[in-house]
Amino acid sequence: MDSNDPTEKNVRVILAQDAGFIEATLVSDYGLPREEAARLTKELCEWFDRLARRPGTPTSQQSLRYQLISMTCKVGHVYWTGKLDQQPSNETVRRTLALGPEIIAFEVEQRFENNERPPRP
Amino acid sequence: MTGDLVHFPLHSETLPRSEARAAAARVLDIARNERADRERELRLEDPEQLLAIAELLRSRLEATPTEVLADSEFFFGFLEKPIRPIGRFDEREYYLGEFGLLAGIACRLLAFREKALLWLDRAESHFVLAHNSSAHVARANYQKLAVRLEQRELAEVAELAERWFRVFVSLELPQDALKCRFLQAHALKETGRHNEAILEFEQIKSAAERLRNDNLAAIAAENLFQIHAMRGDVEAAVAEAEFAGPIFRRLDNRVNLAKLQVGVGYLYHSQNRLKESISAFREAQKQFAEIGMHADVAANHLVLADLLLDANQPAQAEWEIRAALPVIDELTLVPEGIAALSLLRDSVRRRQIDRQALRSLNGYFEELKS
Repeated sequence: MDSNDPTEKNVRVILAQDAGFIEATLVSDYGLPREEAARLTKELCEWFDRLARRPGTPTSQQSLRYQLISMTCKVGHVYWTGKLDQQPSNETVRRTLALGPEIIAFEVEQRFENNERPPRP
Repeated sequence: MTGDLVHFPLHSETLPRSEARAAAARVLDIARNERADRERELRLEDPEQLLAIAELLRSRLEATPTEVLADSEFFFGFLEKPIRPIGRFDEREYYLGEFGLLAGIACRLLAFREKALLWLDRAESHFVLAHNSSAHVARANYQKLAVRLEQRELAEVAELAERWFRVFVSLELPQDALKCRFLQAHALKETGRHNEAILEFEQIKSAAERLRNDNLAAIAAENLFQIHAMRGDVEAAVAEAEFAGPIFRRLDNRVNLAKLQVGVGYLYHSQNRLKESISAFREAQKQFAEIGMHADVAANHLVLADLLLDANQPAQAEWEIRAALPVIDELTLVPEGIAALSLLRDSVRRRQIDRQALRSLNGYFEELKS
């Protein structure tokens, strides 16, 4: 492990700063229970740490962050896909699922860049 | 995105990153037929260890391609059946793609072109289901393009390399983009546009040094060495060899060390030092044989045959050709190559070697030596 590697540094910054934002996205945009969101955030961080070391992964902080946001949205979406018998009642979550993870990931990234909070659950 | 693609596996502790590389090296030291029986003990499903194994295999591609092929096939098979949850989310698909890609690259280095393309297709079928799939599909397509270069589809390579170059730039993957320029430079070299090829390889070498990619810089230097050697520009050739050689030795890049040795043969040849040239090609041939690059061994037989004819040793030359023919038979040649092979075989039967057919056939191996 090279602590001076710029990609390593970017990963550490993202994991330290963005975990809260990821969890909030799962709760607010995807309506996940807090406990479930916390568990998935931990798994997403573990996954992201390895993803950053795959060949073919971009190295800039912005692009790396987008990889994490993008997978977060896929995971949130699949959470509801797996609950065929339950539909979310929350209007924000219904909109999120209707637009799909790619568009939501883009929105979440914009929000992050503008330093905005996720919508209220 | 469907529910099939993102797994929610059971929790399990993965190996700490600090231990994974040593553990991966130990796994690779164990005979393949023993590994599957000891899968739990060896933690073969551990995603951190799988990442380290893939990295180790990648670093060994140009030292022991035959071993890398066998190991990549092993891990691909292990992950494919039975279907087992691996790591988090997309990791099973990614690792299947990565081991398929490694197998494809190893096959390409060993000149098993059809098998290489099959492995690259297998890799792609898993990569499309992995996260960041466009980058991985692009990586697989770069390798397919490299196979096309070896099949001497030079015009297609020049066009498609430019397209994939732009793809890699937009994906923020500068090293992969640079590798596409390599293919373009090779196409220039193979079509005899040596001045343009020199310019391009020099730019690639500088860019690789800026990106701190020593291996890529050294491969660019090795190509410059070969061009200068063929042209008899001794001083320029030697300078490039002195740059590339120590890097290849440090990285244990035996594939390119052997190719460098081929350049030494050409350098002596350009100086009409026939005896030294033959010795250099024989040494290159020995090195290719040690790493299992049989097509390159055969290509060297043909070059040696040509040199031995120059040295008035027709019987020895005939022996070299006879040694090469069985290997060439196993390779997929373009129609022109098949025609040259047929002419050469007939001439050997008549014991009157057709020099033109020999050189034409050797031309179809040119990429294997570059």
